Amino acid sequence: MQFSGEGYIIKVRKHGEQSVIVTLVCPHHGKIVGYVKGGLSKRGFGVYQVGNYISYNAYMRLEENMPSLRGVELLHSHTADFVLNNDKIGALVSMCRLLDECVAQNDDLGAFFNVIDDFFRHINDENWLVYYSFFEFYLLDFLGIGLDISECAVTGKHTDLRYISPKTGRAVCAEAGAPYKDRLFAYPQYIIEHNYMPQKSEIANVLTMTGCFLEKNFLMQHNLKLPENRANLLGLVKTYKL
Amino acid sequence: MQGNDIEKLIKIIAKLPALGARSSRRIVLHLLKKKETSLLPLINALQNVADNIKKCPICGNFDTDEPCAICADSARDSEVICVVQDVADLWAMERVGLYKGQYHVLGGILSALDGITPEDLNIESLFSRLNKGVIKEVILALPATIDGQITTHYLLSRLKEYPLKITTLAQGLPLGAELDYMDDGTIQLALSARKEI
Repeated sequence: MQFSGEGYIIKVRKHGEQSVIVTLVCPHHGKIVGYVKGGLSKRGFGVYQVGNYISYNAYMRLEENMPSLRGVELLHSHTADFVLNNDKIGALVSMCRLLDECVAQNDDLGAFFNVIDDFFRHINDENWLVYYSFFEFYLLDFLGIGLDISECAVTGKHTDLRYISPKTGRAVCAEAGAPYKDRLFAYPQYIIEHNYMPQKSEIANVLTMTGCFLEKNFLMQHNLKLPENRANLLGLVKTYKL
Repeated sequence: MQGNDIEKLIKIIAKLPALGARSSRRIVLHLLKKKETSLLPLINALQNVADNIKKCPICGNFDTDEPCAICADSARDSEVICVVQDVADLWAMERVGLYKGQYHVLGGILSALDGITPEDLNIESLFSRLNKGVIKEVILALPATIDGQITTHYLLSRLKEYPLKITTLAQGLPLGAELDYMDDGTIQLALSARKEI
């Protein structure tokens, strides 16, 4: 059995002296783990780095076998984008770890891949952290624990939505949420309106909210924790300029 | 067919880095044929190393003396310290022969994906050395990989508290490289680290 594809490297593990086992997220094949013989050779040094976008031909004898990746070519290197910036490394590591731990192997990513792709494509933009927050927000959706931000959970209204309930993950309108506003998350306006430029406090709110729901509804149930590097991202938002 | 002892020796040698079963059989056969000139000197050398080798308590290098020859060498610059990932990197730096300062071997690099934390590395002893106040410059000679940079940034954040000159090795094109064969990342790094000539 064989197939070809492209994908972002999210994890690299050394195997023996010269080979590596790489984990990729691909637009058409979801998350795959493959073996690359000679991946640690001189030619492979710049290729098998987390965040790089590669093309490959995957071969395996049976469907359940780990594919052997051959003819790997580096399509886009992101190493330099991250290597020079500690904050971006933090976001990259956090994203890769969440993808590695939360996404099942061979699970079709569908439109969620576009969100991952956006993060890499906009990494040199000034507002790159916005794309990281999109990633966490849509990861919740992908995991089946997405937030319902279309209407108020109390009144059913579609307008004047201001809060998100930390219990239900549903939107609450200004009127219904006013008495409890200290206990509710702020409504993620910029997730809905893509042309809306968020303030740094809004990004921090979304990251706090997604972190809370990820931890409560997924990670804790699987005995996992939020990545350590993610904690720095919230600190970063305070110094982050749009 | 080999006897049990020979088979055992083949298996042990086959487990060494860069060797497989075939090379292991060739090595064992060579040792058996050249008992006086190869096998016995090898046994002696291995026994000596096993008896005398120590990990330097100061820098983490391997040597038969404690502290190691590099730490004990008074001719070396004790005000400069070069932080490396592994003893192999220290040997690589020493092969060049240009650097005449001290070393500190971390014994690995931080990796969030593999769960390697600062507690797993030889980091605290680095700061114990810095606290003595002799060192004026720290060279961070860590790999130009994502994990290498995570470690560099972690050390940088802690080194900021010290009045030190902190440097890292240059990143970019390797010697003898042609641009056409370089990956985008290397060219990008080389461009951002370009210098006036």
